[in-house]
Amino acid sequence: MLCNLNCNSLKKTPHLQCSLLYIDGMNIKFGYSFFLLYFLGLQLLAGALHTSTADVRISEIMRDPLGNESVIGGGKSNEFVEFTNFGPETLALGNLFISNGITVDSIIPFAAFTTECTSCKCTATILAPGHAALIFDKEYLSDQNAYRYSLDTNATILTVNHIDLLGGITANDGLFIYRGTRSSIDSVICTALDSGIAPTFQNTKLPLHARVASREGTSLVPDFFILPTKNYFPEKTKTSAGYIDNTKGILRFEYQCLDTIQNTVLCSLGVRRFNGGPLNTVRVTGTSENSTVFLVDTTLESPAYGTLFFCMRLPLGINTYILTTHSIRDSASLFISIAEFAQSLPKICITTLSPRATATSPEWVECFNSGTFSSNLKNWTIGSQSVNVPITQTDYILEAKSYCILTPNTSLLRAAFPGIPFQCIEVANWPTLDNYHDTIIIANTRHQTITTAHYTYLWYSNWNFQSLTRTCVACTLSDSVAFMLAEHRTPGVPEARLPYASVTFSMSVGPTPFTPNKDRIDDLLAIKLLLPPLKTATITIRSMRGDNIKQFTQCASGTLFWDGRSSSGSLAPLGPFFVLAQRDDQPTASPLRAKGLLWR
Amino acid sequence: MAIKRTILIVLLGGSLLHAFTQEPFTSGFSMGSLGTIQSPLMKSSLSFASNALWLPDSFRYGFATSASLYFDPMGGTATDLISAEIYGAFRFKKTSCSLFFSQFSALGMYFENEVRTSIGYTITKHVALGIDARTCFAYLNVAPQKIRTYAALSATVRLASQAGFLSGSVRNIPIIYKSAIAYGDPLLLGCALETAPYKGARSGLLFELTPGRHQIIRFALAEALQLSQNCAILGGIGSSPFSVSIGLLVGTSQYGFSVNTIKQTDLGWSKGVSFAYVK
Repeated sequence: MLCNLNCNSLKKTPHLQCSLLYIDGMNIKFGYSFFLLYFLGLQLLAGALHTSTADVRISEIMRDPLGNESVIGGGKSNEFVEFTNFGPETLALGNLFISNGITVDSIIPFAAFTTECTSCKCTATILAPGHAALIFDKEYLSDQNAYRYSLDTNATILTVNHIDLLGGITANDGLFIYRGTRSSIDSVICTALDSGIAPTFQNTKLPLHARVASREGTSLVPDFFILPTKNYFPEKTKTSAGYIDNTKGILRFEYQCLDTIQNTVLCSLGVRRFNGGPLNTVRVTGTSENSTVFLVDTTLESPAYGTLFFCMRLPLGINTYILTTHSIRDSASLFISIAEFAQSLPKICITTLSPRATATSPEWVECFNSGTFSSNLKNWTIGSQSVNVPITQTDYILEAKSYCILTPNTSLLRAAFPGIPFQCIEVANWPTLDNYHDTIIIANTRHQTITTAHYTYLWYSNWNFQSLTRTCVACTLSDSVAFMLAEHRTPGVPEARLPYASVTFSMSVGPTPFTPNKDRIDDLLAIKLLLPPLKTATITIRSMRGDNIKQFTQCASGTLFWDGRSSSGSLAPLGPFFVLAQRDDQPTASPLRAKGLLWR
Repeated sequence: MAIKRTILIVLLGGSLLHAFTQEPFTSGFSMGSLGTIQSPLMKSSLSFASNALWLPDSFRYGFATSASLYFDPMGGTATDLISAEIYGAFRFKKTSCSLFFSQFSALGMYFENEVRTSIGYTITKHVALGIDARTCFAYLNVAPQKIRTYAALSATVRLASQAGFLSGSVRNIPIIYKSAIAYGDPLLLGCALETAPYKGARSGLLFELTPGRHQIIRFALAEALQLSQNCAILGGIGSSPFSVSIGLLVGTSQYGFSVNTIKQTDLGWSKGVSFAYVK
């Protein structure tokens, strides 16, 4: 009962709520001494800051500064760790430790730093919400002529009790900040460790691997702040010691699916403000040439901390989206890039074209939707850079994994290819294709280029009236091997091995190392094979010792996956292995070879 | 008594140990013969891939080192399967001992260290026994805290006559092996025949049976030709996979040097160099 009363009276202090509920969870009866509870309450009040549950994240780590690793003013002294208080509560900085699993350093104020940055908080004992603290090496100031970081003038500056921060942070070192003693952890404040690694003391350093290899002088930052993350990436532009990248905390989209009926993308939006106080209002507006649409317009009944999620529909016809938030202290606006939508859009590709018409067969262009969404071709255009015409002005849904033929005369085309069932659109004002060289562009309603094709007669010998069929999806416009003369003219019917056909025999293997231990990370080895049309190859995986571990026969172009087991089902040996690809039509030629590495 | 002796012979023995768990062929001075000819052509040509029992009676102590580059560059990467070995041995009366350390590196991220010790004992003029113990540690440099360990014993008996040597071995009897990670060598039964020198030439034949391998049987045939007192050439041919080897051996009574190369059909050329000092 008393606990509940305390909770109610202190409901604006979430930490105390938690603490008191915890006491309640211990089944402390009212019959126990009132003084005992009163004493505990005082203790909790006094210790509220010290046992704060503030939302603190390690927001930047400089592990490999520019310069020689052993030189002061370079690699040895310019390492730093930045942590930021994203929560609504103040974090007390007393009694904090930083550790990499082996070395433990006590975090202390860096009073001497005032000579370097007069406006920085060099003797602070608390970290206010929305503020960042930097832990520098003690020797950072030792060389006056050394490289200095550009700091946020409001940053809190800290250091450690030892000369070197964690004895020197090396590549792949993880770390965590905690409250407790040198030998025990009372509460973990924040971590920067690989997924699945717990912040503990042990004999080896705890790891943190960057998701992408970083170069010297590049710090690591998390991919976003809006949700807890274990993914750290190299900072793309520069170090941002003490600064917080607003875009990582204010917005995160999770695209759901494309609604082709309403031509919208269903998505969820996460919004969070961490340095402006709790949110009052969230608004997302989309502006096009003619109108403005309110997609989200929410005024909260009470200011909200943490991350707010919204579900909304983003119309595809909108050019620009703006997210506006109002918090207790300020307002902020952010332009939302919709470039990412391109990945969700239908992937339509010109797969075959027939520019040389005859009296009985018109020109035609074959398109294939290789994406996972269907698409409405209404008001899409076909043509060149200068001249383009609408494909159709009525609704035409091109389903995923389907073909359609664009032609100026559908009846003539169907008569020319009787018995071949194909979807067909008759394009009014057809842009006549050049018989010798031309570039064809198909664009969507936003004038974004969806697919292109280019050809010139110089690339093809004996080109009479054959159609040109695509052999290489990834080729550029100027690539002469992007299209080849088709053996048969077959509109709306897949060509052999399309769209994977290639004129060069190549193979790539990854990831390295390949770790088939069922942790869902790099569990399968992808063997990507490119072969000329109609050709096959035999893939052999061979151990270092020379054993044939696994064989895939009659493989066409595409990607094979290997699970790390031999043909008999036993585990393949640990260590290096080789992948050999032998073309079946050239059994005496040298095979393509690639090395790999298996680890469990 | 006979059974006990047989068990002893099986358990105590030397072997033609590999320098790392999956080494495709032996390194060192016997690389040019695909590990078939083990007895030194010259006193200074220490075949340190083999057991210490092969050290000649006149041998007192010695050191050797070698390095091997495995196979052609592939997939645009450099030749980055490399091993390096250091070997030391001594002989006291009928007992010889050796200590071996090697490191193998693959693609700059996989490392494997091996420590091996072997003891050979000459029972009679015609019979010698040896035993090897080896421990291997593998790790990735991106996750050095995850160390995989493998340990095994090997044993061989060698019979000598005026015609040459006949040896039989049981290798890779596991002591530490975790099947869940499949790190280690499969059990191997080996038999080798090595002729005595005849007009400066010596032949070797190797037969191996590995029940755990895809290709269970392996043969190798090699020939060594003593060109002069200080120079010899070796050549060999082997199966599973098909391999051809050639080596050149140069040495004095104290110093030995060899260069060897092996060609495998699909994977290309491997190269090895060795140097030894003996007393």
